[in-house]
Amino acid sequence: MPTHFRDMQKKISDSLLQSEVEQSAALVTSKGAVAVDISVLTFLANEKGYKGVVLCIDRPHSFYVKMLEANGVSQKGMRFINVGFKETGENVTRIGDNPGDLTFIKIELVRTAQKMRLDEPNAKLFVLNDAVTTMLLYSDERTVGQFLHDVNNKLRELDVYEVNVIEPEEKLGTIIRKLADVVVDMD
Amino acid sequence: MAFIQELKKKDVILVNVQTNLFKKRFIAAASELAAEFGKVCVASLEVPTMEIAAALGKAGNGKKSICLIGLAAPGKKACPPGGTCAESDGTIMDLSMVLYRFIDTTQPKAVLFGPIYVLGQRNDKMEALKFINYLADDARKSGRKLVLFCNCTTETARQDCLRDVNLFVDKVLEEK
Repeated sequence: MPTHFRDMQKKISDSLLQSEVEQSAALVTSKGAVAVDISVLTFLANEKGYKGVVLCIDRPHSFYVKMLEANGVSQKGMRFINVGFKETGENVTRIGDNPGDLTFIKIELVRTAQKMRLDEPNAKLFVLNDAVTTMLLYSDERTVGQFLHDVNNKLRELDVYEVNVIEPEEKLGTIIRKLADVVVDMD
Repeated sequence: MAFIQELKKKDVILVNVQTNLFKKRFIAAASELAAEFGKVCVASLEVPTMEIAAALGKAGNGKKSICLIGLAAPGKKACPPGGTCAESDGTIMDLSMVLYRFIDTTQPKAVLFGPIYVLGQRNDKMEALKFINYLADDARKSGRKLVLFCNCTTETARQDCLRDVNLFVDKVLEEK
């Protein structure tokens, strides 16, 4: 396992879920989202027993499946929302043609999380979104900001832990940091 | 009403009625859908759910097979006692959560929703249209019937509504 990956995992396990009221995290990285994704998924699924929803906008769900398998992360109870990708699967929902369909995305994201909550009222659940920058290619800052705020509110109501992976210079960094209960600099 | 016959051939229908007839037609539609499909979900954005529940009770439709969604209003209860009912504030995010909580747990065979102009009053118009688009797509994917009701007060609003929502439905019925 590469050292930087181990460092990331340590940073995540030292920083996330430190308090019972914590429900949202922003992980800030300039070195690409993939290593952070796998670190946080390993931590939540393997170490903490979480199940969750991965929003697949930059990479299809098959990428995450391979990445999880390669790193020994359990996919049991994980669901993937493919936005714009044509792949289908048992634990995959396919929606929209592009990441500009924010209304579709938020309805599906919250619906999936709610379904998981109704199925298992005491389960530990999360949602992972690493594609805010890509959303901004299709919609303006105000629209994406409102999307993030709406989703954050509803996931809190459902007691679902939200993780946003963002770049340091992210245009919506201020609101994402404000919405997050914990902000971790991953670099 | 003619829409029940149409629903045998189509999944998603928009029924446009005159404003003064809306309440009567909407309640009658709820009752007919319950009689035809058994399990139904009624999202009423204008007609009080108490009145719908009373009418369904009178028509002999069991409370267990109907789920109702009403709009929250200050100082007023949106739900009748007993049965399955929930309140929403009418925003897309809240309405979709309440609606899909029912749909995903009770698997109704049909959904009655209206009047749709209220969505545009409480939300951005484009977002309201996308929500209707999602409802229609999801109904088709799930083999569930969707009946949307519209009661626009002016001819211009009616034309706007029909032009926009027409894109997502299988059939538009005009009830005079």
